[in-house]
Amino acid sequence: MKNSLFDAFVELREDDTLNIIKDMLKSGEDSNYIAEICKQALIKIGDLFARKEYFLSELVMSGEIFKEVMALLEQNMQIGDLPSKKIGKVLIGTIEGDIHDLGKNIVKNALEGNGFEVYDIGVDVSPDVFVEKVKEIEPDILGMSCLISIGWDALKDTIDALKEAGIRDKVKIILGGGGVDNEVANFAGADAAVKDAIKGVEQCKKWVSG
Amino acid sequence: MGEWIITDPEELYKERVERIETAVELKTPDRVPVICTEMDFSWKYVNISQLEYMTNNDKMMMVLEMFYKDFQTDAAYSEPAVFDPLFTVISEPCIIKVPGRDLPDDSVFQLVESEIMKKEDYKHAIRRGYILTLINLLPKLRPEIPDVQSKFNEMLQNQVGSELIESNRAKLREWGIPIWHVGGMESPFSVLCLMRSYEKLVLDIYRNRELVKETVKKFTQDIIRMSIGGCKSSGINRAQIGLHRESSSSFSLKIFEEIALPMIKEIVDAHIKEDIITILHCDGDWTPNLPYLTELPKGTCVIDLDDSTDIYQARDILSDRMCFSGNVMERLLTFGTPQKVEDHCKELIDVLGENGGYIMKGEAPAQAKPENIKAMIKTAKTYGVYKA
Repeated sequence: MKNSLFDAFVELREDDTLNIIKDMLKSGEDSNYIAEICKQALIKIGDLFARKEYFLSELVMSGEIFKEVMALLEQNMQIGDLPSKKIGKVLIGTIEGDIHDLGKNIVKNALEGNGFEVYDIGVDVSPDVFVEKVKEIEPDILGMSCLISIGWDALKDTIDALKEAGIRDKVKIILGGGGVDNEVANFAGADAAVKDAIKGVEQCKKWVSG
Repeated sequence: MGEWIITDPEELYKERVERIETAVELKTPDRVPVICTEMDFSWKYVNISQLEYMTNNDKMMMVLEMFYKDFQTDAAYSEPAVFDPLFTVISEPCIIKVPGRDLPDDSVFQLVESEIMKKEDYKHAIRRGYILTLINLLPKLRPEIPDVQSKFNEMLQNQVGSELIESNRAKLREWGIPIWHVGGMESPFSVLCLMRSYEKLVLDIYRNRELVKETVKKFTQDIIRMSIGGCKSSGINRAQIGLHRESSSSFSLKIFEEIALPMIKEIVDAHIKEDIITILHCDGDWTPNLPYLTELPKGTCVIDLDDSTDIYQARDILSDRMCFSGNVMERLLTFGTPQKVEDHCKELIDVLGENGGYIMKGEAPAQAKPENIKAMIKTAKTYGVYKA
């Protein structure tokens, strides 16, 4: 069953994945064990994405299946059964003046699937709110999403506001979205800029493990 | 850069048209033609707000005149037209945030991709096609406009605004400026994505692929009709199709092959029958998708790339099939220096335009440095000269 669940998930066979899990639960299989297989499948999907065998559409679909899997497992377990150990805390939001949330949502799912605790503060977030939330949540990493070129100044303003508040060095700052690259990261004063969700997860993992 | 003063505008116009057409036909023009997305940049250059530029035709034309005088590009990027929230819904079928209304005056438009079209609307879409689906969804797409459906019908029937566009076109010709393409349509797949939202469309493709395929097929008929209509009324034989969600940055190659490629072929074939060149405006990373495009007939398309696609592979795979354009990107024009721009543009000319078949295009955002845009244009006009 373990292999067939893993394969069904990696091949994004949604109904098969859910049916196999239902059968496993019926036969008394441990929810944590099932969740672990699904997490391994997510990691495999991330590898396939990095090798350009899978694409963003497959990441989104795997995120959807994972959500359904977790909902199914939660119905069948006592509160507190699911592993709760998180590997790091990430605060994530789209910068002021930009209302796009697709990339941010995909990154959020990918981070959660990889064991991060993610606080999503939405879109069009002002520098003041970023500062306030960094103080309140004390994340390891701040992720800012920016799709439009007009947002470059807002990225810089936000990081300047963090500096002014004396908390810039308490977080690693990662930028994501179609509007950013290393040049923008240098301009704004961020630590990194990434082009896709999986590279973002890799960078965040590197930071929390280092 | 004295072309504006010393040359008869009509002569200049013809010279520019010939330069562009020669490149599109994969032949060698006198030099690499150069164009720029002036509508995103020029208002800031002239120091008026985006809001004024997009709502006041006189100011818009004043700004454009100044831009073309100062920069001397070979064509206007598209037909100049003031913003009309109703007309825009045809190419951007989603909620739109507008400077001056929802955003600061100096901001840029932002499209909000959300689930405007519900899952249960697919059957209607397959039966009725794109425009009728759009009309059905108009109260959700443009909630701020009262009686929006009848106003939209009136606009379609009476071609509201076409006189103004015609007079803008005539003015450009007086200035010696041809138009690169007739105002772009988004592809049927991209408009469906805007109406359903990317995430929902992914789920639809995995759960109900046939519905998506049928809808794209049906939408394609309406979009072809509008694209050809736009070319006929403007007299411009280059139609841009926005391919925003078709690349490997958004969907797998299998999905591209099954849904997007047949749609692209159908549009290109329909354009060919009307002697229209299709400009494939390719957002995202098309590197893995490039081999599929060799299936399109030679000399019938221009592929407009951004910097996500590998230009070396693009050259190896497509240079004998279609003209290239694009690839001088926003970040370079904003954060780069004239020297960096020059170096990049020389590389583009060497790789994509060795013997013609390349149109240099700058994606200039509002905050681009004018000296960087000038460096791009100068490189096309000097380094881009072909030896006779």
